[in-house]
Formats: sequence, structure tokens, C-alpha cells
Amino acid sequence: MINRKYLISELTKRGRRSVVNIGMVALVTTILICVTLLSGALEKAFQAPLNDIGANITVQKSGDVPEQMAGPVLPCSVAPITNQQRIEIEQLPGIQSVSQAVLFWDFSEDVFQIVVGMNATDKAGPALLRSAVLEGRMLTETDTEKALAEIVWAEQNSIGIGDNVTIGGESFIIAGLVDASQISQIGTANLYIPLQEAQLIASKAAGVKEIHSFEPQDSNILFIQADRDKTEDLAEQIREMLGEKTSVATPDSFKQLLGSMFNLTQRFSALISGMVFFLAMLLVVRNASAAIAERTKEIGTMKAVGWTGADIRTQLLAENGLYIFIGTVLGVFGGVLAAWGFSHITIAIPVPWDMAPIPHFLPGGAEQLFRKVQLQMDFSPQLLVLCCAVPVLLGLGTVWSAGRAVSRLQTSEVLRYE
Amino acid sequence: MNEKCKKEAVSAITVKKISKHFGSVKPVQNVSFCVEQGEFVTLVGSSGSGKTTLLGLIAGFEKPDTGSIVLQGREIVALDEDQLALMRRKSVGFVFQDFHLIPTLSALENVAFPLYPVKIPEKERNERAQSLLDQMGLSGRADHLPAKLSGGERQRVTIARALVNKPSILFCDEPTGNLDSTTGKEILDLLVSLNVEQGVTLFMVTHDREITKLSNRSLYMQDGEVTYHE
Ligand SMILES: Nc1ncnc2c1ncn2[C@@H]1O[C@H](COP(=O)(O)OP(=O)(O)OP(=O)(O)O)[C@@H](O)[C@H]1O
Ligand SMILES: [Mg+2]
Repeated sequence: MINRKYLISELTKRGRRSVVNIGMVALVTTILICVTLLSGALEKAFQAPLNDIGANITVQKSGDVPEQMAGPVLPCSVAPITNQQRIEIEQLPGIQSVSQAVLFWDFSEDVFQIVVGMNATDKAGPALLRSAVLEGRMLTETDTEKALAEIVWAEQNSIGIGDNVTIGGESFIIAGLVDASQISQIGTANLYIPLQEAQLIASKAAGVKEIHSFEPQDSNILFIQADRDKTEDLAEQIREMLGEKTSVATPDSFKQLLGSMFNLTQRFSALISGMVFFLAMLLVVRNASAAIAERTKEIGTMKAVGWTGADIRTQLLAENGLYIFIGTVLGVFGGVLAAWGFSHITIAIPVPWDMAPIPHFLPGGAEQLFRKVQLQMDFSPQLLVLCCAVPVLLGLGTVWSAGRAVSRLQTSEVLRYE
Repeated sequence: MNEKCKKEAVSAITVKKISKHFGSVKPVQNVSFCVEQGEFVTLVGSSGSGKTTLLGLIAGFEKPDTGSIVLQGREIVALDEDQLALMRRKSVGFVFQDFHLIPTLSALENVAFPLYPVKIPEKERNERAQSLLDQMGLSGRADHLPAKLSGGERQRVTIARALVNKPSILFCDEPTGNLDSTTGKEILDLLVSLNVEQGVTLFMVTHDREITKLSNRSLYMQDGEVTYHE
């Protein structure tokens, strides 16, 4: 039977000990919650650039550029991928869909424009612009000689709906204005046209022919949806299939892009986890020694006045249980508070130039593109398990140490005064 | 050996040939004696002669190496720790030289402390503790923490605590050892009156030869052995 009065007295009249015990449990809980939430949020953040375009793998090849930049040319990071190669990739187990796109630079007269050809009905890639149409309409499957213009570029060039633009010598009518910043920077362009027309323009262009052979079914960026757990394996297979000059992007490759910085955070979180573990151990050991050292005299008194081992253990457990309970509640509160703070943090994930090639001579062409991601806090079931595991483990540690303290102490110790 | 107990069957304490050693130290050697119900017996001897060790054996704080100890007709040598605790809860009170009060509990709570694991209504428990405090002349000190009490007051609280379970035997180890002589005298009078008026068996370890004059009988201890004295 637990005596409430004694319990409360121990808690309130030994303020320092209570604060230290409760504080340590709270700290351990808060740190564990933070580390878990942060590593989850970072993991998610690295998926953002690819998630934006509905893919988990993108494939590009690199090649040369012509000496003379005139008419449509393929930037060095988007050499052709043949239709045959696409079909082979599509047949790999774990691949759900492969969307093609053609990206080229168009130098005509005194205009420069970046153009992307895409299938308007695709599940991944620039087709996701359908949710970013600001004015006019999205392209349809049957559209010909229609184009979408990126709104900032359109405004700079005073282009509106219904206006005519010339791309690779062909005439297109603007059907819609889109805000491309809503999808990631991967494969962004000034103008978006139907895939087949882009393929035709590229296959006929002198600046392309000079370097590559480009058939009207070929493309130069693939946006792939694949089973999430097979992503990295598939990326490896595709790299092998397409050869050395292939660059395959996955969430992992964005992590590697951040390189040392992310490794640092990973090492940092490992360090924190280690520290948390150490703290937790310290807490258990502290509780054990506190039970023995601080309470030796009292445990002896309890025994001397007729408390049984079970009576004493119950009392010590109730005291520590109360510390653990209050500490856990405070720790969870602290964790939620910290999570709220973290959710205001935005991290910038660099999008490699290769994935959104802009000529270096253009204003802003040499600047690194970033996808800004606000950290997202997921209160997952694992976190709940973790939050419960801390007090349970500490409780078990306390049971063990209380039992040890009680059985070790000789009742006759009460007769020996200092 | 135990001619001092006329009727051993109803004796409060019967000790037969107990010995205890710690390494090469032998604080209790082949000790036998008997204490009758309602007797006041003092145990005297020089420092280090083994008095406290003997007291600890009789109160079941520690096991003797050999011999038998019967408290209130019950052999306690074979009992385990919990059985000994329950035995103490039922029939033994203990007064320590250095009080052993719980520092976080008030005087009243300290007195009620032995009853915390016992299923009795809180009201009844507090009433019992309060009436003992009254009896010890501490009516106004019930809410004080031990740190706020004088040495004499603390010892009174200890005595009240020792009585809360209505014991038939009260063990005291130098109950006045930490007190000045006037306060010591008061505490002693209190204990004697408990013995005389309530018939509590009193077994007291002391250095003080004066105290032995108040008791019915004294046991002298020397180098772990008990010699009788009237
Ligand atoms: N747990 C123990 N371990 C080792 N030696 C012990 C232990 N308990 C007591 N002793 C030794 O036994 C001897 C008797 O000690 P005890 O405390 O019984 O004497 P005492 O008569 O009560 O002395 P005092 O009058 O000073 O209180 C001492 O030499 C002491 O050192
Ligand atoms: Mg002693």
C-alpha cells in the first residue's frame, strides 16, 4: 500500500533531488523526440525535389555541345536517351512508370529560350504543371502547336495567352501560363510544348545532329516512378544499363550532394543518440545509487519499524514512478514545443545545374538552384513507442535498483551511527 | 542458566547460547538470559563489549551464528527478513540513540510511520499518533519537521513512534546518549512510567550506571559475555 503523504513529502521536501530526477527524465525524452523527429524530417526533405515532380528517380546522360550555339541544341547534361533504352528500363521489375521529356536550348535570332517537351497526361515530370496553371489551360493529349509559358519569363517578354512564339523555327500559340516554381526546378523551362513536337524539332535541328543522333522517339530526361524500397537498386541497374555518362538522381543522391554537411548532421544525430543513451544509463545508475546512498538510513529505519521488503520496494517505486511520470509528461511537452520550433526551419536543398541546365552566360545562369523545404514534423507511431519505452525502461531499472538496495541493506545498520 | 525466569513459557525474551562473530571479532559469545513480561532490564558494559550487537540480535535485525532467541513465545532465529519485520510491526518497539526520524515527515507523520503499510483508516492512525504525541508532551509540535525539534523532542517523537503499534517489548539503545542530563532524566522518567503504568517490557542498553538503579535488574557485559547482576 502506497502512502500518499509520504510520497508527496519526499517529492516536495527534497526539491533538488526531485528537480534533478524529473529534469533528467524530461531531458532524455525531449532529446529522443527531437532526434527522431529531425532525422525523419530531414529524410523527407531530401525526397522533396523529386517528389515535386512525382518521381523517385530521374535519368539523364551527359554529352558534348556544338561549337556554334545556334537554333535548338542539347545542353551537355541532357544527351539523348534512345527509345529502346527507355523500353528496357520500363521492363525492370519494380518500375511503375517512365515519363519522357525532351529539354533543349533554343538560340534563334536574338532570343534565347529553354524548351521542354512533355506528355500532358504523364504521372510524373513537367506534366505535373497541370496543377500550376495560373492563366489559360493545360496542354491536352491532342494539342498541336500549342505551348505553355512560364509566367515570370512570359511577363519579362510581354507574352500572353494566344500570342505566337517561334520554337526551332516552328510556330506555337500560348495556351496557358504556369508557375513552374510550384514544381521543383528539375527540368524547368521557359516554354513547354507537346513531347512529339519537341522530339521532331530536336531530331531535325542541325545543332543536335552535329553531335548526336536523335530519333523522333528519343528523349533526354526520364522521370521514373518506382517501388520506394527498390529505388536505390534500380538506380544502380539503370546506371549499368546506360553506361558511364549516365546520371541517375534519387533521394539518396540529394543527400550525397549535401555531402559533408549531411554526413555531419547524421554523425551529429548519432552522437546525440549516444549521449541520450548515456544520459539514460546515468539516470538509472543515479537512481540506483541514490536509492542506496541517500536512503540507506531511511530504508534501515523502515525495516526496523516493521516495513517488509515489498512495502519498501513499493514506496521507492512509487517515488521513482512519479518522477518518471512527471518527467515523461514534461519531456513530451518539451518535445512538442521543440517540434513546433523545428517546423519553422527551412532548409535549402541544392538542385544540381545538370538537372535544370541554364546557359552560364545568362543572368543567374551560374547560380545554384535550391529547393527550399520546410521541415515537416511527423508524430509517427514509432515515436509513441519510443516515448513509452523511455519510462518503461527507466521504471524497470528502478525496480531492479530498488530491489537491490533493499536486499543489500542489513537492518542492523540502523544501530551503527556515524 | 536461566533461573531468573520463573516461568520460561511466558517470558518476554529467552536467549539461549547465542554467539555472533564478524571476522575475528566476537562481540557476542555464548550468551544466555531471560527477561520476564513487564520487566525493566538494563544491559551495561564498557564500549565495544557487544551490547548493541546483542540488542540487534534479539530485535531480529541480525542473525546469530548459533543459539536460539524466543520473543513472546516465538522462536525468531529461523524467520526470514519479512517475517521478522512483521514480528517487529506486531510486538516490538525500538528507540535509537540517534532517533532515526524521517526528515521529510512531520512529527505526527513520523509517529504514524510504522503503520503506513498497515491497512487502518488514516483518521484512526492519526488519532493514535496524536494521542501518543500528547502523552509525550508534544501536542503543539505535531506539524514540525524533525529538523525543527530539539534533541529531547526528537527522542520523544521516537518513543511515540516506538509505541504506535502497541508493542509488548520496547528495546532502547542508549536512549539518553545524545541528550543533556536534564533532558535525559525526563526521557528516562517517561520510559520508566511506560514500564510501570502500562506494563511494557523494557530492555535498555546504557553506559549510565545511574540508570541501572531504576531498573529491576541489570545484565553486565564484558568482551561479548554476559555476567548476571541484580
Ligand atoms: N557489522 C560489524 N562488522 C564488524 N565488526 C563489528 C560489526 N558490528 C560490531 N562490530 C564490532 O563488534 C564489537 C562490539 O560492538 P558493539 O557496537 O556491539 O559494542 P557496544 O558495546 O555497543 O559499544 P558502545 O558502547 O561503544 O556502543 C566492536 O568491536 C565492533 O567493532
Ligand atoms: Mg552500542
